[in-house]
Amino acid sequence: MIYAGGLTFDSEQPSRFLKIPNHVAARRFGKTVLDRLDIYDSMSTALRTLSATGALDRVLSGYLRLMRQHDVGDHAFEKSEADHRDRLWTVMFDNPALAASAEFKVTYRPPAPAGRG
Amino acid sequence: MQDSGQLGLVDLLIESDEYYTVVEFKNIPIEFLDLNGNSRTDNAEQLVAMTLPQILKLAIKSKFRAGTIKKWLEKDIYQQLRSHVTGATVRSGGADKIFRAYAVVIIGSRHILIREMNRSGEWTGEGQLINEIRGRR
Repeated sequence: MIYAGGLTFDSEQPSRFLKIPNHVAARRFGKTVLDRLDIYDSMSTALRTLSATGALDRVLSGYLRLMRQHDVGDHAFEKSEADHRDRLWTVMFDNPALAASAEFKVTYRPPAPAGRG
Repeated sequence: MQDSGQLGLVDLLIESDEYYTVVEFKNIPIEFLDLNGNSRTDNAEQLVAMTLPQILKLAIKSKFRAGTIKKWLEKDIYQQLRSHVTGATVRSGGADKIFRAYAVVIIGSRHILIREMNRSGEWTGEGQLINEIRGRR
């Protein structure tokens, strides 16, 4: 780890201590520890990721797990778009770092010509 | 392109201190997918085992919509999300924040397909299936 730059010798007591050299290495340490303990992918970390990066995939990953466990049996498959959206919204509202609005009114532009995207 | 000034509804808007995230939600129930199981539960098991290319080729069996999931994503969903992203409300609302926009498609309660769009209203990459979170043991 010293060769890879993950650790350096402590400046005051190099024979006794190693130290994490910078913030990037510290984040790698933190992620690795959480990963090893299998808690990196918890919903609370997913929500923090959403708040800090705007990336939705980790929250959706948690929602996918919830959906697959919950939606069993014929009637469970009849959920609408709003049902899914509201269930996800409820999950996200537990995080005070986010302000979420459902059915948010916006102006929009006319559809683009067919065949784009 | 002229702004129409018409009102629409974004399914979900998420704001944090730094980010302004627009989400267009879509859902296709399993009964509208061209699967050949004997029940919805059988079809759900088939669907879970499918890869992204297989899912994109799946036909939709609905009187309201025809074609494949790929066609739906690249035409209707693209146009709807783009119209919101490039409309005046989203452009001004997210002006001082980092902008992100997603199409999120729930497929038969077994998969979630996500595709990101930039501020100009173009896809930023290919769609991807969300992997299930592992959670605590």
